[in-house]
Amino acid sequence: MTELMNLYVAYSIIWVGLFLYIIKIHLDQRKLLKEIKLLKETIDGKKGNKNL
Amino acid sequence: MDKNYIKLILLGLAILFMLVSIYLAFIYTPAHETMGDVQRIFYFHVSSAWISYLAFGITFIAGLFYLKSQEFKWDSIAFISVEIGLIFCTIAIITGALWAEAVWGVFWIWEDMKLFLTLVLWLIYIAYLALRTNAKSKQSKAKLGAIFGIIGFICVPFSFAANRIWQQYHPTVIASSRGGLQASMTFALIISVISFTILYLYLMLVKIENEKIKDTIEEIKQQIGG
Repeated sequence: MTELMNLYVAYSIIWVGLFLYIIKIHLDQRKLLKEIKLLKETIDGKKGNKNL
Repeated sequence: MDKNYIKLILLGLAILFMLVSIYLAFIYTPAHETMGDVQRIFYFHVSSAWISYLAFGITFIAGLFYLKSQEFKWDSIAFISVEIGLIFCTIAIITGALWAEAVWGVFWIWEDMKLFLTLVLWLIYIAYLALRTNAKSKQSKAKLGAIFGIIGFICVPFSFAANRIWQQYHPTVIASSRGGLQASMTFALIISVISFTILYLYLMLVKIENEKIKDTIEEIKQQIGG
């Protein structure tokens, strides 16, 4: 049983690691999308100033 | 079909298959006659190793495409595939070492060519990442990456076939005639391999999307700068 418990622990660590990695790449994507939005707003702002 | 739907479907399938493969590996399949429960590590170990070979294979193909077309999308695919391949290669090495400790009494046997070549493979792709980090321009990064990815792939077939060629310590479970796997074990292994493959595809899709967004950001920044 101890052997099986060790396996459970090892796999839990691996799965938690993989799960955290999936969360990380999604958070990265969110951050990048925010940045793109901000940059687009900056461009629009510049264009607006030129039109004034 | 919308990319978000594809991503969602892939994630759903990956989770479903993973849960099924965990059930199959820990409950459905019987314990091995001689190795006992520790043999259950094999389902995830083999699947992780398979994904690392697949990922490095994709890097090899994407490298060839990049050299032919000079399109940066192939470089992105090659780079992302190395990143994911390295994660699974690390998992394969760790799970293999855990199994070895339980069965052989040691985590690592340096004389075994399978273990040695897998470590070499891992180091080759670590070097790939280091090389890219040090390259100055985007072009040189991509070109060096493509060449390194193509040459580095030479190690993959040797790492895969090492236990068949040298027949040392590492067991050859999936052998053509003397497979030695029960039907339930083979089934669990197939499901596990499928689940890892779906997970790989999902990770690739999300990371490729991230790279595209990064490129767009760069373009916008250049526009603003200009």
